[in-house]
Amino acid sequence: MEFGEESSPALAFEKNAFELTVEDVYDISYVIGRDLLKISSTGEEVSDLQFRIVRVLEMFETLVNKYNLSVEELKMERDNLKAELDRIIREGSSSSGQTGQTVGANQLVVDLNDPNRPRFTMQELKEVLQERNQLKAQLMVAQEELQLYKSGILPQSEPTMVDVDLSTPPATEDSSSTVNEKTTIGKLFSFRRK
Amino acid sequence: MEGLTLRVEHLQNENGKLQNLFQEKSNINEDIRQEVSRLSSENSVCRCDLHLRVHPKQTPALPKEYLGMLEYKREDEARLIQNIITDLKPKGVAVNVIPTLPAFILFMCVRHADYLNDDNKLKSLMNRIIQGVKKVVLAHQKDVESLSFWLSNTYQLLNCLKQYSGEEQFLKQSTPRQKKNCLQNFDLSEHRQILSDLAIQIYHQLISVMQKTLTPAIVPGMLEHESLQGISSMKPTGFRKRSSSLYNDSETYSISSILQELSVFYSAMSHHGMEQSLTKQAVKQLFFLIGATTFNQIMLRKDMCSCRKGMQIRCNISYLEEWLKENELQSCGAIDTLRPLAQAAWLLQVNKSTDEDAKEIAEKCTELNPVQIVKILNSYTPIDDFEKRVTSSFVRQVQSFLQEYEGATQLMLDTDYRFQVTFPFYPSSTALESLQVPSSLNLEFLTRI
Repeated sequence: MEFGEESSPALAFEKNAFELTVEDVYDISYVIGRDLLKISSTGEEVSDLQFRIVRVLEMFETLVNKYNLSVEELKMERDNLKAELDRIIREGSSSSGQTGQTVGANQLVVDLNDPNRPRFTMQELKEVLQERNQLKAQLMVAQEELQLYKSGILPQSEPTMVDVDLSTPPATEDSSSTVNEKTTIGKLFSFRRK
Repeated sequence: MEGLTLRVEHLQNENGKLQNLFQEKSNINEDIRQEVSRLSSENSVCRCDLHLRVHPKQTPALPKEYLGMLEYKREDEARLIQNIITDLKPKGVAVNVIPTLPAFILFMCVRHADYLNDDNKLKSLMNRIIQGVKKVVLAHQKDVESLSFWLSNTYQLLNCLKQYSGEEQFLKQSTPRQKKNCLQNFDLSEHRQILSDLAIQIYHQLISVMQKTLTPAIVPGMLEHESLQGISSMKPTGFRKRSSSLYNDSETYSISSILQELSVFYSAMSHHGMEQSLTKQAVKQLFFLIGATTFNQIMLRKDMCSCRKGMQIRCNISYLEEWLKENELQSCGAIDTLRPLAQAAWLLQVNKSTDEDAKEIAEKCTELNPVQIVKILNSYTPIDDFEKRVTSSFVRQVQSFLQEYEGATQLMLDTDYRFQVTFPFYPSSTALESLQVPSSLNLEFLTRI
């Protein structure tokens, strides 16, 4: 059979290695066998080569077969695991029936009666910590001043009573501040210290 | 996901283990073969084998010279037949590369039994072979692949038995070495006869299966399908497809369907190494069926007797001829079997009015008898109102020219007719000593001698 004709056995040679089937290996064997026939005249010289080729093709057949079986097995395994996973998810959500929502990945279920339950957001905590740091710094400054006055370095008749009023903004020196701006901490704790 | 990864690893391990086992096994086999050859060469010192005289026993560095035989233990006989005949698939690596290898393997076993001068072993083997082939053909009696495969191998075995029989008529093309390899103790001509009968049986079974598949397509494809529309444009593409679907685009049979089916059959036969002469006989038989079936329809149906149909038939015949040329089958006599059909088609197309016309018809239609000619003339249907029917006087004219005809007077052709099949002797150039037994045939219990 010459070129130009759609000889399907020869098409096997052009396939991707990982898409070969055992049938393709047989087609390849047939084409090679025919080609060997063309070059063999007395039947002796080509014989060793011929049988070595047969051997290699036998091994090839085994490997292609095994590969295809493995692929099938893995696919089945994967599908089974997927099905199981879906099943477990469905079961899991049906047991926590209050919200009726399915609990997906990265979700947390919180018991509202738990005293140690998380209550505040990250942002809220950040702000509180920032304020605390600021106030701490102010406190240290004030304490230093006090020391200085006590030791007489700073000439002042009376020590200034600094109202540490947590409800006032830190920058002011007004002792009788009645500004009642509510800081975050104030909002959260809502008490005043004198 | 973890599970999957583990599985992959596990399978990869198994794969590696398998490959190691393979390697081990071939190493072991190689060792065994070498041992056996060494022992056999020691044993065969007493035999006057020419090659031992020519190469005086020297160094073992020379590759072992095999005698071209295969030894097996008597108790392995059943397994031998099972693996090389009963369970053997027509599609496999070994038989795709060397389609008639089973025949040679069997013959090499026969040679060894003869060599041992073991009457019982040889008879038992020959009988088992014949029974085995009969059974496997019966089991796959509708499968073109299996039938071609075993027809091919049975024919090859027959040729081997002749070539190595020692009979003068079969030695003409043998090499000196092949002459030496002839059977030494037994005359198997009776078994050859049985094998020959078996081959004929398989051939006819194969023909029946092919004809059964082909028949539904013949009348629609050759007669009914109109591929000509004024101009003969559409050349059918007769390419081979693995699945033999007989339908073209319009879901009816056409001449392409017929050609395609023929290609499927032809490729099955040649894939299995069938001797060309046998393939040609099969093709001729199929062409006969096509011609006779189509012809009989013309005899029966008036609506098929028109000028247009004549043209269509001749066109289809030319496609068939071209198919033969493409497959290098011109010399098989197939086209001759279509002659009655071709002449009938010509008769439909030619002018049928004058005396000269009548004379020409009588002269040209050599393959048709007067009954058939008259039937066609009387059935002839003009395609339009301008064309005249064939006058009865014209018919009488033609008959007068055919007065001296002395042949058969049957109207219809016998579609069941089978040409007698022959199995001419074909010697093979294969050197038996060079043949090995591939491991995928599961015949490790055979020892190469």
